Amino acid sequence: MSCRVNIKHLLTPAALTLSLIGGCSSTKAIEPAKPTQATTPPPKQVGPLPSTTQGPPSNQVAKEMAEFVARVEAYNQLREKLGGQLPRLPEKATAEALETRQRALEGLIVAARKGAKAGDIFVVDMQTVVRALMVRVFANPTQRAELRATIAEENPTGVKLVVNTRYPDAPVVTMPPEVLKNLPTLPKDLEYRFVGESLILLDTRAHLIVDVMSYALPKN
Amino acid sequence: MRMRVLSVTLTATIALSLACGCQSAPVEPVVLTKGETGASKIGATFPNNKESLKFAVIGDFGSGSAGQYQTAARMAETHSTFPYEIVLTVGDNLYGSQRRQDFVTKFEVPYKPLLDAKVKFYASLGNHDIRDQRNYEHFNMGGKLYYTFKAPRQNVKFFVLETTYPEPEQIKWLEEELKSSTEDWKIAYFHHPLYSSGGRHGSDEQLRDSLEPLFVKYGVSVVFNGHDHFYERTKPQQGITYFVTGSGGQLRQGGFRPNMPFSAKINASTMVFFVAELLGDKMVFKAISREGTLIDEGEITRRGAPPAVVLPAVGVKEPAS
Repeated sequence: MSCRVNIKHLLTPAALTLSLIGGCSSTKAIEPAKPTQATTPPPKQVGPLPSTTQGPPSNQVAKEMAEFVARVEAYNQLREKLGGQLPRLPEKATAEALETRQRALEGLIVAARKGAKAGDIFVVDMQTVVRALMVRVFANPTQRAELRATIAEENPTGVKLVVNTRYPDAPVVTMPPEVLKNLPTLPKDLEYRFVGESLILLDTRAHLIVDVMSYALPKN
Repeated sequence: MRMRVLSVTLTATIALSLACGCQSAPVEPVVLTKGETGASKIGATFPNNKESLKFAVIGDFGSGSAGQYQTAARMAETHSTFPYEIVLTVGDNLYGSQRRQDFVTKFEVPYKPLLDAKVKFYASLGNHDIRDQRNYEHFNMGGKLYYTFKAPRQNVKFFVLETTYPEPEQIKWLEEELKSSTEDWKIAYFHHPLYSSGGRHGSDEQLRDSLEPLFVKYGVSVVFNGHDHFYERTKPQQGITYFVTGSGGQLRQGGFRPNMPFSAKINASTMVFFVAELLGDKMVFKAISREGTLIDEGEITRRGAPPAVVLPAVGVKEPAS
């Protein structure tokens, strides 16, 4: 299956977010930075941010968003390449075929990403951006209560989240549209989900936890 | 029960006459004795017109529990005299693990009689469902998380949404689909309820803000949802009737807030499935328990239907011209 991604389209929510965070009026499309090797240091134990944080400057946000999008796309390209080694799944597959392909794709990706750890995609600086975004999204007290209620619904708390392992046999949390609107758009079959207070990248084709970011929600 | 069944029969007969302008064969009223399992008999109280669209709706069912199996058995029993062609699912089709054996025990076994009778299931996904279900042969989703399909009979289009990940793209797609749809009946279904008296979940007001204006604008007549584990029917909300059909295999007994202003009927004491017959501008429906008893019934006229012809009463003198 081909997957063509328009980087400019992906960055549109980010451009809007820049306007909100940095107060700048520019809505020009932002060219993505070139993908970098995953040499970022392990994430610091930053803990929850204070609720009044202003967040990083807007040009820094743009840079982090662009690099995040590039890292996500790199994962997506890897998944497409490995998925191409497997038989294509028909639109009407048996349960056995579904499980066989999912497990096979899971195995290939896990092997290819051996050593992957939390923060490889949600690098520290991107975590700062996301937390600042969440503070903005959760700023309105009425909306905050509704968002918290949505995220708390059947939230599988107590689950141990390990990057590059299978998502547990647990429900997924419904993502509030307000949160999705403010995060960069992901390629098909990659989703943001909350687990407890963490934000994860979930590969719904391989049923894998791609990355985890702790303390994603504002403290209030 | 006799009077109620008789009145439903008469209503259905009149409705058919208005819809198709023809005389329909009278349906014999069926009497259920107290405590009788009458799922097949309930099926016989429908008009059962050959040209009508007959369908069922279930939600939150894939638990593999005894309750699910009993409810499924009642569905098969109803089908024996009311041969619905399709089943809509409003999500949470499987709970817990979803390995190949789970698809067997939580779906293929309990609904085997219907699958053998070539009844087609058209699924939507809930928060417990893995995304791979969109490729599952028996869910007819065409590999998509959200899709539309035309009913095999009558002038009906179904709009099937995925509401655990409501991306702006999906809302935009929905509006385009609704706008371009020329069918008389537009029926939408998805997991999270826009109107629900549920104590655990309740109405999803954020989703309602996104979807309800589109439904109202583009003439949706009926919406089916799940997520809350009981049965509920609302009074028409801006012309649209909403159903929560979330007790196909799960039940939260008593789990609702009573007397919500939008609510017309609730049952949270037993598992329930829903069946309907749609002909012309009218949809006759019944909600049936896993014990085979009638929980709810009624008739809905589609939005935008021409007004009913009102005949002068017999014996009234027309004014002299």
